[in-house]
Amino acid sequence: MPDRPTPLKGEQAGREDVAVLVPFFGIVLLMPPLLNLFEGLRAPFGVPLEVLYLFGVWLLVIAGAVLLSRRKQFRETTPIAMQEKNMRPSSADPPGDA
Amino acid sequence: MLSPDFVILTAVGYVGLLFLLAYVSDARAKRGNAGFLSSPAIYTLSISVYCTSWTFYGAVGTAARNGLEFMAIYMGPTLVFVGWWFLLRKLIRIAHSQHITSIADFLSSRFGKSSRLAVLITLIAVVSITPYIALQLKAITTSIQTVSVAKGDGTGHLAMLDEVTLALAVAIGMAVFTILFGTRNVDAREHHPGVVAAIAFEAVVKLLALVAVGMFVIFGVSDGISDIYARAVEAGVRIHEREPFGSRWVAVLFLSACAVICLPRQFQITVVENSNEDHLRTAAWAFPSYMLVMCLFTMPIALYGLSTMPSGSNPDMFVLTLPMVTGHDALALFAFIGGFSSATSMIIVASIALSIMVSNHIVVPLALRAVPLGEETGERDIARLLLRSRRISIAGMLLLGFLYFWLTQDSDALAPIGLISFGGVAQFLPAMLAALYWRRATMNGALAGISVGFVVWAWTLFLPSFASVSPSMAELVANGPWGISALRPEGLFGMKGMDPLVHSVFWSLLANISTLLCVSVATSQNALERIQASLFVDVFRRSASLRPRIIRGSASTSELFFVAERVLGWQRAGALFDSAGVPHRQGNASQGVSANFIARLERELAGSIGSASAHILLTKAVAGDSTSLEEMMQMADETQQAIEYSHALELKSQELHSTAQQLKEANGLLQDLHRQKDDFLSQVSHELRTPMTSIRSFAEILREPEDLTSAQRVRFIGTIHNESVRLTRLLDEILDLSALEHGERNWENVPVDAEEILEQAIAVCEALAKKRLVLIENGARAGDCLVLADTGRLSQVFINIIANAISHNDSENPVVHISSRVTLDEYIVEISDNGPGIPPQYHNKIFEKFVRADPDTMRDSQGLGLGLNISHKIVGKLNGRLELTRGALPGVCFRITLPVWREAEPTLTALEGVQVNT
Repeated sequence: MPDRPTPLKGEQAGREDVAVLVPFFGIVLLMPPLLNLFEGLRAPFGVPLEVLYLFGVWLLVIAGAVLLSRRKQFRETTPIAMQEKNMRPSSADPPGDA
Repeated sequence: MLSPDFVILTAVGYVGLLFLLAYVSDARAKRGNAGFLSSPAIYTLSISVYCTSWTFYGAVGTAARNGLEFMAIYMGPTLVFVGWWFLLRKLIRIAHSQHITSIADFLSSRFGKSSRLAVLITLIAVVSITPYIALQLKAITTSIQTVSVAKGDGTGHLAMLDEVTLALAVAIGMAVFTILFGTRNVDAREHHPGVVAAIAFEAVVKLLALVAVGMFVIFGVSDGISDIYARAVEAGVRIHEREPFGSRWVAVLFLSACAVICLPRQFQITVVENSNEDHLRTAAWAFPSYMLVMCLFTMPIALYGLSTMPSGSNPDMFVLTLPMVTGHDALALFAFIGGFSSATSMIIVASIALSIMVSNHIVVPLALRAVPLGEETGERDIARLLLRSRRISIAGMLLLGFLYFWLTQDSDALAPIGLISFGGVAQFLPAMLAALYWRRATMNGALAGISVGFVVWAWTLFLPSFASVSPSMAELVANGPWGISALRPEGLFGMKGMDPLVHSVFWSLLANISTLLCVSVATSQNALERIQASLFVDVFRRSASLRPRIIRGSASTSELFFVAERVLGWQRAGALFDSAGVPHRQGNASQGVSANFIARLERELAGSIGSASAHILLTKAVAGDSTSLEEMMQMADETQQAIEYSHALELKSQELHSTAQQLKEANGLLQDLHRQKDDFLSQVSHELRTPMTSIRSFAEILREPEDLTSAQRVRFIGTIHNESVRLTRLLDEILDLSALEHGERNWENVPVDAEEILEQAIAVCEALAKKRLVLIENGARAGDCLVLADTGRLSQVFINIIANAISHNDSENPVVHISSRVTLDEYIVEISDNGPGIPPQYHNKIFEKFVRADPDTMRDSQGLGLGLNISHKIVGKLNGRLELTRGALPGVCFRITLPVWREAEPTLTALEGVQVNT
């Protein structure tokens, strides 16, 4: 039997759904069809628009990751702590039952 | 102005500083005082070992040659890191729970602790990383030459060195440094806090150096970003992309995303050295930010270099040459140190990671096979063997790197070499994803897929990099072996017009993935593979207590202790045995031990020598492993089944719960109906009893006629008659209701003028209204309107509702308001009053039998409480609705809605069927 009750289905799905947003939009925005929209255009500072676009997408994706990482639901207990708990001799480990 | 001696001494001094830093950090970590060293910041900085000298120097060169393509190399990893929740988190969780030491260990452990797979991956990693190490050597050599010779006049003894000698010297220096650094001891979990601290420090140095050069170029020698672009346009440098982003961009994006997971050094730093899973949450945005800052200045430096430097100068070295030509030697030296940092950090981590793989997966298994257990005695002899083999393999790796450098020194740019390596390690990705998400993937599938992919990669990308070595090689690349053009490395099967990189990525991964899929489906997994597969794929589902027992046998503690001592040393082995309560001293050491303890021992050993080797070692020590493995499998299967079974039970019990709930509701409803029926019976008896009683008493009086006058007799008989009529009416109502309830419609619907029927009903009720002094108010009227109904029934409904409105109205100036209207296809009548209204709790059941809103007044009203119920049923049978709504007056308002009859409808013309049934 699992140690803790399995989390509710709804809560789990929500976490996964939120987490998929940032990489999804990152990939879509970096694929050629969208990238090439800005080809050859120049922005106010004389910088080609495709350069600004790439950095813009990059910043956007980082901002998304920052927002995600601050959400409580993505914090978890560290596996090290879990391991140390398991390292202690337990009743499941009786000497000499082989 | 910098002399070569000075530059080289600076580099050596810098390395000394690094060594000191690593030494102090190691000492602190050993005292358990890691503190800042195990923070997310240090973790993130150490991951930036991804940015090698290829980033530092090569990115500018790539930008100068290919425009924005260099950004793809950093955006691929960005995508992987912002998607950490799915891939990296699972990798790290597995690595922690299984004590994984390297990427080869990871894959071999997943696929049944296969030694063959581990050896294959180690070999591929060595071959793929060799060009990468060569690249770093080349970068260091070229940068030393550039920074010292450009203005040097050949003085100083080191200036005499040619490129190759210098590279050899650098390689030897790096080998010594890495051996001192990374192989001082064999750590339990392959954690190297000292190395990580040094890498993090170097990450800061290279970032600062690149930012310094970038700021210098943007604000020192030119006037901001727009000035640089303007100058570039003036000098005729192309600032836009040469051609639209296409397949090459996608291929580089994909390869770099693979590389940040599969490169042995990235796996080592990101997964193996990770001390806390939560650090990944920070690294997910901090590492992409680091790369963003690294890339910010690449384009300006490249453009400024292209527009101001003489043509023919090497764009790979712009970071160094731009400060030098303007005479800023200190900045040039800082830039050199930055580039040196990025190269050394890569060499250190890559060669440590590879040496771990070589010693754990090639040397130790060979040694274990060659030397029978127990022959080469001595504490930690395996640990010593590990250290020795790691030192040798580090030296070997750098030697290979040097040889590659030496062979390909005529090739021009840095960037292609890096992408060749990326293509090689990308062959691990399909097996890696299968290991994490596809339970059915087999060892043979992984082995075959990786082998095939590797061969295709070697043929299409690795081999062509040697084209400059000899004319015969160039001939082979140009025309294919023996002139067979279908096998031409850069145009397999005659594929044309494709970039060589895209071509290689396409063919190698296609072959790799399809082989993995087909072979996995065609072959089966052995017991250990199935156990490991479920441990990996379900790492988030299982709790630690479900970990199956790995080896069950009849080993005695003394034998096990002997094995543990050989790897871990007496002290750590003793501590491990003591903590589990297993005796290990001589004399009382012939006891058996539990399977759980053996599994734990295996994991501990795996942390030092890799899971495949640990498995071999313990299998040799523990007798009867192969038979008990089957038992094991059963246990694992049973556990799995128990989990699934309990899950099914949980679902079932939820289902039962909801069914019980429904039953409870149904039961409540039934009981309600039952009570209503009882009420109905007692009501009916009561109502019948009153007239019956009076009839009987009057009849008894009439039986003795002598005392009665004829007038009295007439009055009594009249009363008896009235009561009988009332009784009949009551019985009629009950019969009527019963008929309606059984669903029969004992009349026929014909088109009738509803408005006329309403008028008649009002006229009928006028007498009652006068008696009760109620004013009937006529509101807006619909005019003629035909509906399908029976005249008698419809008038029954109208009369019932109007009469109710009159008789229940006890206000001072009682008013009943009647209005009607026609909408598109409905005829609507609203009858409202200004009486007391119906209390909210009755709203839902006012149309039920015997329900009266005012039980106190029921005694003097003549109805049974059946009227509304009957009306409701009749309107229903006329396809209309009878509802309680809010009306013009404050009291009750009933609304009757009936569908309008139109001529077109092919309904009854049988007007002769009109019947009045009340």
